[in-house]
Amino acid sequence: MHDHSCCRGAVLASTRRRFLTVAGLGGTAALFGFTPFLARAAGEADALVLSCIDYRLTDKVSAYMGSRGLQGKYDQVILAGAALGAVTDKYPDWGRTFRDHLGLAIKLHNIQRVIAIDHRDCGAYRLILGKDAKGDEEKKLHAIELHRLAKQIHAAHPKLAVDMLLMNLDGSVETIA
Amino acid sequence: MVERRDLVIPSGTGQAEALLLTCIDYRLPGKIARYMEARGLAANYDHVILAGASLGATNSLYPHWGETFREHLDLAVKLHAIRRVILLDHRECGSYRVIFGTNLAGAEEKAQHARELHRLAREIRAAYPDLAVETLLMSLDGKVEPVA
Repeated sequence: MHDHSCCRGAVLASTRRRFLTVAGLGGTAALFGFTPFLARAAGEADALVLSCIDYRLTDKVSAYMGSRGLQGKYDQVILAGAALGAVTDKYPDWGRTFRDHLGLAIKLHNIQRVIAIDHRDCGAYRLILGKDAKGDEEKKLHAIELHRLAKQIHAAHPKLAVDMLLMNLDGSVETIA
Repeated sequence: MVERRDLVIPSGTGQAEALLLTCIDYRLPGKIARYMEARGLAANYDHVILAGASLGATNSLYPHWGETFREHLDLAVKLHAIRRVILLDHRECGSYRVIFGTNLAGAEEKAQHARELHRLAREIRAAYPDLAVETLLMSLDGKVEPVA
């Protein structure tokens, strides 16, 4: 069976040529410079949610967003560690991936807010930081990374609001000041 | 700097049945959560999201997205001993339109997704022969069809 592996290379090469043609416009936005119809057709979302890979929280994040009246109104990107995944220098590809997706969410869906949802008892925090903190100490670790991420976002996109949140394993959420 | 390969995986982090890969699109998160719940997998799956789902992990325009996926798959295997990867693309996907420069529907659209889903499934099976891999396509109404 012909699976179009050969053709795909040509398609991507063609796409890459177009991409390079507009790359001077800057970053991810450039990718969409040649397809303005998409921005019009793709609709609008209120927010981009960044949350963690962890299986204990995936449905709770959806329920939390529903409780805020945002069901069906948010793009979502998931990286292990949430805020930490987006800022860690141990996995630099993750941060680039997050920034690309933030650019997509702005360009395609005109989001006005980023909602970063870290969670307690996070394996990625233990893995990357090598610490197993609890209680207030754990909250401080998350606050450091959430603030680091918020600072990066504000530097690149000054008009975006950034919510910094910490979810407990029961799904309750506290705000990080 | 500590190399990734030298990192010690914390023990006692529990087990999950699957890793789910889906798309960034705002029209789908609630439908995806309901789909996984209907399969009895609520709170039993790690979840990673990339624009385009399978295409996000396979496209050559953004190779760091693929690396991000592979590192998350590796984490899910090591941290949570997942046994299955669920690749869930969706119809009317803006990422497919942008990266391929096409706007397909119906059987043509499904065939386009099938190529990327199967490409990624092959990569996963080559790296992790013991993992089951599902290739699925969701419509905007939340219905899911297997992609053989």
